Amino acid sequence: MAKNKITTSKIIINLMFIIYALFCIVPLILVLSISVTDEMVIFQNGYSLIPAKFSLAAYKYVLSGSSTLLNAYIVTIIVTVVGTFCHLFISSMLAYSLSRKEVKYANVISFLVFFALLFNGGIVPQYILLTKYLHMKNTILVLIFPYLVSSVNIIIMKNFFKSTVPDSIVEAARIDGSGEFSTYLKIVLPISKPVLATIGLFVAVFYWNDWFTCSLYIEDNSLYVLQFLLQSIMNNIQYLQSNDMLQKSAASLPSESARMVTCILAIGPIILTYPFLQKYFVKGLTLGAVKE
Amino acid sequence: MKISKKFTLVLTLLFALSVVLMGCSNKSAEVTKEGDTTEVKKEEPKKEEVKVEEPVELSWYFPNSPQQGLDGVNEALNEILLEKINATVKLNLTDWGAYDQKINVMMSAGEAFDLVFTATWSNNYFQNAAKGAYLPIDDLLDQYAPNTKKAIPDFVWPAVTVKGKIYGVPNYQTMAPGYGIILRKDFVDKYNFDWKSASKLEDVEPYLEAVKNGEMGIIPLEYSKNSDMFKSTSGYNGMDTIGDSGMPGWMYLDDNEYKVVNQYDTPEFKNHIKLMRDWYMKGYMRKDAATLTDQGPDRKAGKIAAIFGGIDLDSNDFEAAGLDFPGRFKGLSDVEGYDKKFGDCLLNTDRVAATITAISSTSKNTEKAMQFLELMNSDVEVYNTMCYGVEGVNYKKVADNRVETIAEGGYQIWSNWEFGNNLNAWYTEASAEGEEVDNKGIKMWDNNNKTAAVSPLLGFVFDGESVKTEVANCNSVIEELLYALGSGSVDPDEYQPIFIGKLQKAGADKIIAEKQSQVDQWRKDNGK
Amino acid sequence: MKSNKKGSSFINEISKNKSFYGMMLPGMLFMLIVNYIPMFGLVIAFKEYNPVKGILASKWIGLKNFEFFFVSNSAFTVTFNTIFYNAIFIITGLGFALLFSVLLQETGSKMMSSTYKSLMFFPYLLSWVVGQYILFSLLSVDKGLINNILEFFGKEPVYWYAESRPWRFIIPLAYMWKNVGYFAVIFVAGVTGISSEYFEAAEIDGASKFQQITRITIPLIMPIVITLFLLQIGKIFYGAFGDWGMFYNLPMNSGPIFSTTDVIDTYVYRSLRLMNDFGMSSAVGFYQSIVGFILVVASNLMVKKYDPDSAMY
Repeated sequence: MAKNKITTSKIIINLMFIIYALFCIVPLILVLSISVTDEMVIFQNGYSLIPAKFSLAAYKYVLSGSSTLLNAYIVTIIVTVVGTFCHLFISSMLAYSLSRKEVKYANVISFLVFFALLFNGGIVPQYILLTKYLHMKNTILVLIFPYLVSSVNIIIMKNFFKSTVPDSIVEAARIDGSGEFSTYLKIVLPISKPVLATIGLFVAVFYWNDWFTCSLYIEDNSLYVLQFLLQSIMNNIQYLQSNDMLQKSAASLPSESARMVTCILAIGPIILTYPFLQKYFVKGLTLGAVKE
Repeated sequence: MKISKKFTLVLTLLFALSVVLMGCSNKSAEVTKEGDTTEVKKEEPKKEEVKVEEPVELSWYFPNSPQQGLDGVNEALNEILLEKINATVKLNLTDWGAYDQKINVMMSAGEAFDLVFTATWSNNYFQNAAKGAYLPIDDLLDQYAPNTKKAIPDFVWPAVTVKGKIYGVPNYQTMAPGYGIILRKDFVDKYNFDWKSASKLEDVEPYLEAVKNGEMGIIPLEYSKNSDMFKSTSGYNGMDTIGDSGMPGWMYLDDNEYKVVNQYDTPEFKNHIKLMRDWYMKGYMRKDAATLTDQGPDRKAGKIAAIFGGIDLDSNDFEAAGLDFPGRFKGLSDVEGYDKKFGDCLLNTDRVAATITAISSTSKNTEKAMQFLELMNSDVEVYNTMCYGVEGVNYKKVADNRVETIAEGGYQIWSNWEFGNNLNAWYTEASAEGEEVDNKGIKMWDNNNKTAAVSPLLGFVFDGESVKTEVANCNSVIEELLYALGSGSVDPDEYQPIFIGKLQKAGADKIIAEKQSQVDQWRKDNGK
Repeated sequence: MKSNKKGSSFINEISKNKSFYGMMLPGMLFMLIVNYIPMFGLVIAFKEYNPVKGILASKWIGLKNFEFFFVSNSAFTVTFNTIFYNAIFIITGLGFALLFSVLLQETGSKMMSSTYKSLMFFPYLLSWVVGQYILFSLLSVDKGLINNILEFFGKEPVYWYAESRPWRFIIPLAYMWKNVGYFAVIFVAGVTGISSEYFEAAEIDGASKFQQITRITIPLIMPIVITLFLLQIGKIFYGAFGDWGMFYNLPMNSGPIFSTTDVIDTYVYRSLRLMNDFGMSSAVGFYQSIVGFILVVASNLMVKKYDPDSAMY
C-alpha cells in the first residue's frame, strides 16, 4: 500500500543513486570517447565527453599487432578460468575440513594458515622457488600456481561453513552412507554459492588484471597475458618516440588516443560478459545468503 | 545431484586442460631443441670428422620494445652462428618497463644465463660488477676476442674496469657528445632565427617566443624526465657527474683540486631552474611535463620545436665535411632541422660506460659466450643481422654498406648501440646522403671520440656500497623534487631550499664526502 | 595402554578423519610450498645479500638494512599514509556500501535498483592501469575534463599532479569508485535474504523504518560485513592481492604529491629500483609485515568481541 507512493525521500534516494551511477560510468565514457577522437583535436581542445572529430586511427595502430592480442586474450581467459576454479576447489576443501569440529588438528592448521598471511619472504625467494626448483618459468603454470591458495580466503570460507552448514545435514548425509568428500561436493558446495561467488569473483578479477607475474616470469611472447601486452604496447609507443636514432613512420602517431584504446581493449571482454556475470553472481549470492 | 555431477565433470575437464597445456608448452620447447640437433646432424656429413659437439644455446637479455619480426631475425642469426661457432642464441628482448626489475630478480636469484645488456643508466654495470654478478673477462677477451679488443680504442677500457678487472665489452659508439640545441628548420626559416650564432641555451629564447606566439598546438621546448636538461648535460655546465648523474656529487672539469660538490647547490643549477621556471610560465614547455615519462608521442606527432641535449656532430660539422645533413629532427618528427652545438665535446666515464654487454657470472658457457661477442663485435654479417634483420624481409640493400628498413618487416629496432661495435654498422635512410661513401659518417664520430677533450676523471669509478643508505634516500628525494624543479613546474625560490634541505637530511653530504675520499685516493694511485 | 596413547592417537585421528585430511592435503601442501618455504627468505632482510654467495653464505649484518628506511625523511609519512588510507578505505568503503545496500531497497523500483547496482559494480572489474588513465583524463593539467570545466567557469586550472592536499580526497574517492559497488552488491544479496517476516512483524509492532534498519537489517548482515572487513585488512600487505596498484599507478609517479600518496610499498620500490639491493627491500617488507600483523591482530580482537565465530583466529 505504501509501496508505490512517490515520496520526497524516494526522490532524494533515486537522485543520489543516479549521481553516483554517473560518477561510476562517466569516466568510462570519457575514455571511450577519447579513444575515437582525432589526435589533433585532442591536442588543441583537451579531452571531452563527445568526440569533436571522430577517428579510428588509434585503434588501427594498436590492433596492427592483432594476432598477438588475440593470443593474449586466450591466455588470459584460460588462466583466469582455470585459476579461479582451482583456487575455489582447493581452498574450499581445506576450509570446509577446517570447519568441522571432529577434525582434531583443525585449530593448529587454522593457525598455520593464518600465520602464513603475515610473513612473506618477498619476490626473490619466490622467484628462486618457482624458477630453480619448480621449473615453472615461461610456462602457463607460473601464471596460475602462485595464487591458488590464499589464507584470507580460506579463513573466510571456513567461517562461512561454520555458520551456514548445520551439523544436522552433515549427520544425515553420513547416516545415508555418504563419504565426507561426497557430502562436501553434493551438499555443502551447493549451499555455499554466496561465498564461492564472492571469493570467486575476487580471485577472477585478480587473475584477469595481473600483469606483474607475466613481466617477471614469462619470456615467450605466446604466453603474454592481456594487461601485460597492453602495457607493453604503451611502452612501445613511448619508446618509439624517445629513441634519438629513430625513423619516422607514415602518419602522425595517435598517442593520446592510443593510450585510451588500450584501456578499452583491456575492459572490452568484461563488458561483453558482464550481463551474464551479473545474473549468475547475484543469483548465487541471493540463494540462501543469510540464514533465517 | 545433477548440478554436482556437472560440476565435477567441468572441474575434471579443466584440470585435464591445464595439465595438457602444461604438457604442450613443455613439448614445444622440446621440439625446437630437437630441431636444433637435427640441423646439426644434417650438416655433419658435409664437414670432416670434427668433434661431435652439441650446439650450445646462449641466452641474451636486453631491453627494447617488442618487435614482431624478432623470431625471424633470431632464426637467421642462429643459422650464421651455427656455422661459425656451433652455437645458437636466444634473444630475450624484454620490455623497457620490466627490464630492470626482471634482471634484478634474476640476478638476485642466482639464475643461470649468459649475456646481458648493462649500462650506467639501466641494470647498473658498476654496482653489479662490484657485487660479482658479472664475469671478469680479461683473459677470455685475449683468448677468444682479440679483434674485439683491438677495435676498441685504449682509452675506453679503463672506464669499464672495476677493481682492476674488466667485466663487460663496451659497445663502441659515439661517446663524446657536446651539448646543444636542435631546432626545426621550418620554424627557424619562418621566423628568421639566427641559429648559427646561438651559443648558449638562453640564446634560443627568441625562437621559442616566436613559435609560442605563431604556432598553434606546437610545444616550443621539450622537457622530459628521462633527459632532464640539467641532469643529462653536465658537460654543458663544465662538470663531470662522477657516475650516476642524479646522485649528489659532481666535479668541475677545470678544478685542479678535484673538489666534489653538490651540483644542486651550485650557481649553475640555480640559474638553470630559474630559467626553466621563467620559460614554463611563459608557456614554452608542456604544462604536465614533469609527470609524463613519454615525451615520445609529441615528437612523433611533430609537436616539438626544440630539444636541448647531447650532440656530437652538429650541422656545421656535417657541412664542413661536405655532407647534406637533414638534422636529428628528421629521425624524430620527419622534418628537417638545424643542430647547433654550444660547447666542446667531452669524453667521460659516464658516456663510455653507457652501453655494455656483460657475461653473467652464472653463465655455463663462458667461452662460447665470448666467441659470440667476438662475432657480434667484429663480424659485419653477424652484427648487421642483429641490427637490421634479414635482407628482403626487414630491409633493402641500397649500397654495400647502406640499407633502407622495411616497415612491414616488423624489425625496426634502431638500437645499434645496444648490440656491438658501431664501427661495423651499415648506414640507413636516417643517415645523411653520401655518408656511407668511404665510411665518412662513422669516421667522423670515431674521430670525434679520439680528439674530444677528456674528463680528468676518466677511468674513475665510484663505489657507493658504504653509503647505500644515503643513496637510497637521496634517490627518493630526487624523484620527488628534481623534475618538478627542472621542468619549471614549481617556484624555485620556494622549492630549491626545500630540495637541498631534504637532500641534506637524506645524507647527501655523506655521499659527497665518500666520493671525495675515493677521488683523492684514485688520484694518489694514478699520479694525478 | 598409556604409553601407546600419544603415538597411536595421532595415527588414530588421521585414519578416523582421513577423508578430511585428504581434502586438506592439496591446500596444505600448496601453502607449505608457496608460503612457508620462501618464508625463510626473510633472513635476507638481516643479511648483506650477495646472490653469488647465496642466501646462507651472505654476511649477517643485523639491522643495518633497516637503517635507510628509518633514518629517511619519509618513514613516518609512508607508514602513516599506509595506515591512514587503509583505515579510511575500510570505513568509507564499507560504510557507504552498507548505506547504499539499505537504500537500494527503498528506491521504489526494482528495475532502477537493478540498473544502479549494475552501473556501480562495473568499476570493480577494472585494473588500476586502466584506472590511472581514467583519472588522468580527468585531472590532466591542460587537457583534463576537470580543468576544462574550471576554465569554462572562468577559474584557474589546477595542476592536480603537483598539489598534494587534494589527493587525500582523490585517493579515497577513487577507492570508493572502484569498490563500493562491489561491496554493495554483496550486501544487497545479504539484505534481500532477510526474511520479510521480520520486517512485517516489526511494522506491526510499530517500529519505524529507521528502527527496522538498525535493529534488523544491520545486525543480520553483520557477518558479511565482518567478512569483507577482514578481507580488506588482509589486503593491506598481501601485495599481490592488495591495492599496491592503486598507489603505484594513480599518482603517475609525480614527485610533489608523494607526501600524501606514498605508502610503504611505493616508497621502497622507488628508492631501491635503481639500486638492486634485496637486503634493503626485504627489510622493509619485513617491517611492513610487522605493521600488518599488528593491524590484523587488533582488528581480529575487535571482531572477536563482537562475534567470535567470525574472527580470523
